[in-house]
Amino acid sequence: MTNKICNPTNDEITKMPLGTKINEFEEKETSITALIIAKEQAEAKNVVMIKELEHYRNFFKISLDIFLTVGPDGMITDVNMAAENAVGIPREKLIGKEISTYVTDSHKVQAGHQQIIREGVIVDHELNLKHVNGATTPFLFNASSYKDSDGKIVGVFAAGRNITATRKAEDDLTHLKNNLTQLVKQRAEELILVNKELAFQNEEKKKRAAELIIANKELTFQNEEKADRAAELIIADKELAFQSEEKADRAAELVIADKELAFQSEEKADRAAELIIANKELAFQTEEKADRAAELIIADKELAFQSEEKADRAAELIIANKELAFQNEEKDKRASELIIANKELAFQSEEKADRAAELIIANKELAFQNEEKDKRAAELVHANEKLACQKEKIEKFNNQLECRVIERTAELESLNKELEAFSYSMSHDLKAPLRHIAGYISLLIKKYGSLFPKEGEHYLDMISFSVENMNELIEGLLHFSRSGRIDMNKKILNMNEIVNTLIQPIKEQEIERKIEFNIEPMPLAFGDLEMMKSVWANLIENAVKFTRKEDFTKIVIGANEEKDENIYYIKDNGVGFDMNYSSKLFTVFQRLHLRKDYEGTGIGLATVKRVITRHGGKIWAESKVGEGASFYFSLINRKGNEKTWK
Amino acid sequence: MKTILYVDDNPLDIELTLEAIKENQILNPIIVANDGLEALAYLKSEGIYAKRKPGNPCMVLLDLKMPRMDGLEFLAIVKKAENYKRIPVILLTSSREESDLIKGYNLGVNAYVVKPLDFLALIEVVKQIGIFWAIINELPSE
Repeated sequence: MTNKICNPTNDEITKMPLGTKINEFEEKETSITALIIAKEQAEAKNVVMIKELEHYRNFFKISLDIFLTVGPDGMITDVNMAAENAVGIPREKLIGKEISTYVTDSHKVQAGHQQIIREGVIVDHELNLKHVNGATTPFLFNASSYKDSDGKIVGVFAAGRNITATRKAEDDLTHLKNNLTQLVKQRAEELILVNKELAFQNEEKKKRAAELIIANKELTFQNEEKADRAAELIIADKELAFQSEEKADRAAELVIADKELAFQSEEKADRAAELIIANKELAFQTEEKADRAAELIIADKELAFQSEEKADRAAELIIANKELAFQNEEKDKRASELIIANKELAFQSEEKADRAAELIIANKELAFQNEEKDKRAAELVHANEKLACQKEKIEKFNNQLECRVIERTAELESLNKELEAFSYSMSHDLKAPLRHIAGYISLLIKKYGSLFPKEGEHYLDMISFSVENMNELIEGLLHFSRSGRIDMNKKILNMNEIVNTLIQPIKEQEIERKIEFNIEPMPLAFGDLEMMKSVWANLIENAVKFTRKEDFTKIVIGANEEKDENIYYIKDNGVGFDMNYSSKLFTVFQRLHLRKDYEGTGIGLATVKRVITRHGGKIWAESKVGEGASFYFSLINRKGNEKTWK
Repeated sequence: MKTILYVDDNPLDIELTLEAIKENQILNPIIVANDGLEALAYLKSEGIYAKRKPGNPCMVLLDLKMPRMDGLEFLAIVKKAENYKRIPVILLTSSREESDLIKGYNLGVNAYVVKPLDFLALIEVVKQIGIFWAIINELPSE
């Protein structure tokens, strides 16, 4: 700060920028000389400036644009000619008037004024000036403030340009722009519509194209088909032509064949007629032959007679010679007689005619005989009809017989059903009370057994024994009845296999006895397995039972093959039986031995017989008391019964 | 302990069978129905059985020949019913008829037992049935 305390030179002062702040302390030190110099300079300057101002003022005056100056209070201080013209008021009258008087929107003048004060300048500020004739004209103003040497605003300088033409151009432009926008919008909308239409048409076009492709393919295919058909047609035509020719050939052949046939038919008729004639002829010739034979015999006799006669004749010849001589003589006589003979010949011709007439009669006779033959044929037909009628009667009778068989079968079936119901009932109803008796005796013995005396216990045992006996009887009867009514399921049976499975448990059971089973190979049988098992079981059981008292038991089982049947047998060395009673052997409940010796129900062999009978076989037995028994049964074999064995 | 349903019409058979059950000390409660209809009523908890405890019996002992509805008819109904078809049914009958056996098994019977003549044998049979069907045999839960 201290080094600045010095006097500045004039240059230094002039060089000081306007508004440079000078400390008051400094001002007091330098002011006097500086001011004097400044004043002188300023006066000189002013002379120049006035001249310049005059010069500028002319520019100002003649400008086409408005120029005007306004004081800080808003009053007009100066205007140019353009401004005068714009408002239609002379310069003198305008100066000192408020600017806002000549403007349509005074608040805009206010705002512009404030902006100038604030910022020092305003550009493109639009104002409408009022003309005294009432018209308004748009002007665009640029304005700036000008300040005195102290920086205080002393006025505003404004320049305005008439923008009527510009505005019009702008309006036109806006109008054009609007029109254009409208037009663009319209075109755009149209374009969208057109685009949509176009898109739609494109799709349609695509569809059409696709359809066209399909149609083309179809067309191609049809063309090919057409070509194929045409080719086939040509072949078919050829075939047809060929067939037509063939047909014509066949027709021609047919005509020929027909003719041939007609000819053959005629020939056949002729042949038939000839055959009939030939047959008649043959018959006639046969008769003739017989006649000739008879005649031959007569002729032979005649010949013998003639030989005798010849001898006689020889003798007579001699006489005849003599006679000849005599006859020569006579010849003459005879000549005359010849005449007579000729007459005789004529007579014989007449006779021949008579014979012809007789032949006609004979033919008529033949025709009559033919008629007779026809009659006989008709009678034969009648006889045949009678026979047919009788045959029908026989058939009717057979049908009736069949009906009766069906009826009888139905009756038999119903009877069988009844029997079945009866046996079913037996198995259920009859056994139930027996079971109850057994049950209650058991309970009685169990709970009160100790209360009975020995005799009472015995009675109870006997009741139990009887119950068991009866149960066996019922079971046996049921088995017997079942063997007669159940359906047979026949198949090929291995008898050795059946027998072996049956004797195995017996061997195990009768281990204390010496039993030798001798099983020979047996042929196959055809029958129901279960039934055949029961047959063998009964027979084997009997053999084992009735050999019980032998020291050594021998049982032989085997078979003999005969012509149509096999005969199976089982032989034992047991007690045997009296052949006088053999007829009772196979009857239900018939026993040939005492029950105390050999137990049993007397149903077993009856069941066996029933089974064998149902299989179409026979059963019989041979025995002597004490010498064992042999049982035989026959079954049809394969040799004579191939069909049934299938 | 689960109930055994015993269906039989003959009072003597019933007494003997119950006696046999008692002999074997089978402790399951026994319900006796006199024919198929009564047995069905029990299964369905209807009629006189309307207030019984719910649940199926562990087995049914079934006679064949009975009035109103016989054993095979009852069997056919039970083995077709969704709720009852898994109940083991044992035919206990005096018939050894092949046709009865076939019909029984075709209808789905679980066992076929012929009533023996001998009471001691009956006790043994009942014992075997009881041990197998009421003790050994496993049933699906209802």
